[in-house]
Amino acid sequence: MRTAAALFLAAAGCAFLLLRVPPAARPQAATGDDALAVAFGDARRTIGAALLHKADSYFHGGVDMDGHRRCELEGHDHGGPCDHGPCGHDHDHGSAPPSGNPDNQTIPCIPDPWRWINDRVRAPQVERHLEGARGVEMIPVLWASVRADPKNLDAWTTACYIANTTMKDRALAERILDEGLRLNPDEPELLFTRGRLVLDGGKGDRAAARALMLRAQEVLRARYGGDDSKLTPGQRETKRHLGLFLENLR
Amino acid sequence: MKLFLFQCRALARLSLLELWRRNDLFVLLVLALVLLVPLASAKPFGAAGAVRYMDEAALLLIWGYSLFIALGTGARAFPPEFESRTIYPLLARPVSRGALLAGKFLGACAASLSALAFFYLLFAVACGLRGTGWFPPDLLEAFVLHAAFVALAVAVSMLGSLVMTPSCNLTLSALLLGGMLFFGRRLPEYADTAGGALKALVLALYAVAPHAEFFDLRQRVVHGWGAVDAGVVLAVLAYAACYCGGLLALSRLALGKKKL
Repeated sequence: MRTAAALFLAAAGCAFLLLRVPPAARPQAATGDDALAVAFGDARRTIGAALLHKADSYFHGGVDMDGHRRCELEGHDHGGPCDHGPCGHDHDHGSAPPSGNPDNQTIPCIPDPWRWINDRVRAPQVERHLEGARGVEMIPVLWASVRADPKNLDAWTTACYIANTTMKDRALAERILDEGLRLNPDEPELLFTRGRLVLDGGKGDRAAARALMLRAQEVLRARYGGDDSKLTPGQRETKRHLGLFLENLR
Repeated sequence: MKLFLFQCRALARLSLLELWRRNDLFVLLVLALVLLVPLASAKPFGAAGAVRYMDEAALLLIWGYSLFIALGTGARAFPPEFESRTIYPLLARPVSRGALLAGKFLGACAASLSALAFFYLLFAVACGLRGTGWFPPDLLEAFVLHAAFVALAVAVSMLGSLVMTPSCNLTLSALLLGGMLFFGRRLPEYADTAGGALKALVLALYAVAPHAEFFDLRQRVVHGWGAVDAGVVLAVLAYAACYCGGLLALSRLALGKKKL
């Protein structure tokens, strides 16, 4: 009797939640039909974003640029011999840190042998980018990112940028963007990127590029009306660039 | 001394044979092939020529497998002897507890290192066939440091096997070493964001926990940053030797206190 009552209450609770919570607001909601979407639900977004971050690290030769910037802001020694202080701390990298040590006070130097070893074992924290055909190293990671989350527009546009600008492989860039548009039809950011690809720095088909960009602008307007506050920062940037390009394409 | 070395060698040989007879290694190898072959044959967006993601996946598997083998071999060194009571004739041979511990440790290390060498050999052959050099210096360095990590993992699990139950030992050792491998470097940052007792705890952990991340040269190998300075390698090896020595001393204490 108690089991039946508990089951009834659980079923009633589920029914109540299903009616009250819209599908878009449900956590772990599967937003597609493929196995990945069903298995991971909303977690795919996190996986997709993490893989995009990984691709960025690949672009910088395996260096985690977020960690690198954090080290710079915190005034830490970040690899290689750093002659600013006797203990490996870097007190001033040319600009005042936004937080911490505003009064130019001396940071107490606590010798940390573990950090000394870590900084030398890890890849040197210097700027080094994948160039030319080596850009292909990023493609599998970006592919995994969009496989995990096909709605990750940054991953689609980054993959297109790497293929077109770094690798100079226009056919690959077109393939990537076509795939992205197939999975995200009428997505303004992808339409705009496709338009830029077609324009090819002014050497391409201006009419086709203009048509794509007009379509992007139209979708943006239809989706959000004139209310810019509803746009994400990325969409706002796309809208601004669309205006500039369409102005030039008249 | 000669007798001590002879006893150690005999015990080490037993551990080595046990690992290769268990066929764990081949199961892991098949698992690796099942994971890596589809990855290698994939052509994302029709683009070919990317190798770093493959290297990264292969090295990650090697790290995972080596940790699995090292912890398992170290954790299996003593409990079966206690359970089947073979420890009594072993100590009555007479083999001192020190010799027993040293022999078991060397055996577990030899077994785990043989598996590690096998995995690295396969990786090096794959690199060589691809045309990026058979045994580049950074790969050799990565192997040497990885071998030191394996010895450390064996020492950790061996100490655990003397003071905990096998499942508890394996779980805690894996969590400790895996956690330090991935987050050890960031512990001071986490301590900065924490406060009070938690900060002190995190800093204490940073000071005394085994820094598995010292031995991880995957990033350098995958992205071609070249070898580490010999001085740094020596410092890491010295760290591993001191840490293993400390853990073995604790293990000797724990073994001495066991009522056998």
